[in-house]
Amino acid sequence: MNTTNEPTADNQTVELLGINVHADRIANPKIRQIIAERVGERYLTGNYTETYKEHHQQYNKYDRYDKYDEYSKYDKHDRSAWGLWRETPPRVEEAPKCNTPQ
Amino acid sequence: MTSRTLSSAMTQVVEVANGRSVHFIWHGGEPLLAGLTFFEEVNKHSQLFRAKGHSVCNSIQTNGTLVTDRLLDFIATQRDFSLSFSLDGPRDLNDRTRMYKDGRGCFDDVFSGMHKTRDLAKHTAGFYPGGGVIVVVNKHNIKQLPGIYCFFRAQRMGFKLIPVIISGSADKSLAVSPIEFATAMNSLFDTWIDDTESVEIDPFTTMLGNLLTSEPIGCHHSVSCAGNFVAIGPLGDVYPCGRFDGVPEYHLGNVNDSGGLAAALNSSCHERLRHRTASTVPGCTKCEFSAICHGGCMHNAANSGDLMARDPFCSAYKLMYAHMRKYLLGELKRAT
Repeated sequence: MNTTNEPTADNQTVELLGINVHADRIANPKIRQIIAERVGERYLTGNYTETYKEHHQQYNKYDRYDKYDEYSKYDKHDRSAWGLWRETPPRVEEAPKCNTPQ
Repeated sequence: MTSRTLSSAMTQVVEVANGRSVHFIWHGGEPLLAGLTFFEEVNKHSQLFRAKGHSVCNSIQTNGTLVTDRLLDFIATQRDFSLSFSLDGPRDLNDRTRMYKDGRGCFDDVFSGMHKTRDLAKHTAGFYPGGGVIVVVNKHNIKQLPGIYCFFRAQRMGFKLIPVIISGSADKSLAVSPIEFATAMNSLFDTWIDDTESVEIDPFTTMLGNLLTSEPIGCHHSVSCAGNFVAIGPLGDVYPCGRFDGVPEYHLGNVNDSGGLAAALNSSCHERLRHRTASTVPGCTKCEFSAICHGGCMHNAANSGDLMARDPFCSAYKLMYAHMRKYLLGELKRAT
């Protein structure tokens, strides 16, 4: 899997569920990851996994469940402390412009 | 399983695969009861196949109570076998359904084995020794799926959720209905899909991929699992999959018989199984998800009385696929 910042995709669209989309504009990193694995990495720029990691680093500090003996709190968890990707700017704002086909 | 049967079974599977990759999944009961010597023998055969150019890998689905340092050393040295564990959530949930004969819960032993396996990965660059988890969703834990997710999320452990299948002498009070399962899973999906943590939950990732590609993977939803899976019992008996093990009606043959595995896979029973597809299962042809579901699990169907009928969890799959598709359509429309 390419995790460099070099763009690997052009501006091509892919038809998913009957809709032509720019996969890079899909905000949810989980969906982008599944597209990379099941549809093709070529529809995504090379740094899509890096962006995902950035999200983790940003939000892991809020993780109150990093010790396994604290799991007993599971039924009292405060989900508002979790990182939700919707709280971050949409991925399309960060994506490099890739006009050159490989 | 005797050495003769083991050798014969592995050899015949590789022959029948005819160049395709072979993945041996060592199931039980509890497969680690067979002892390390057994797996050393499996490894020896696997190495011989690999030396001849065959692609062969091994994994062990274990309850995790017999994972020893010696076993992990062997796995690390040979770079063979990945371990997958069965754990039904945090201690209080797991220990209600998974306990030793004396009533003690097995959580601590399993959890220790899982962490040791994951730690092993630090020393086996390029080889994944496993550490994934299967969670059986039952009456006791179905309302706690968000908590179970929270628990595994904290461990950064991916997991797979499957509904409990009541067969044989299983406790019927543990059963969950398809609607209960789908409702709980859809609620969990909403939590999981918007969380930045990348912990993988199967079947969500598999089903989302099936929707996006219209090319289903996974034994429940593939075109016909009978073309890709076969189970061989300790005496060499051949069944369509491990769930049918011991059911006389689905005994296909024995690897030690004259025709061996090839004859078993050419039996009329196996041919019938191969033809169970969405086009032959009543009700599937009109279903909007038939192309990515294919009638579901044939064992679930057989277990409820009719192999050629729909999987009784069909209504759950429909609700889950519809829920995920709605989410996907929203995301995709925003990305046009």
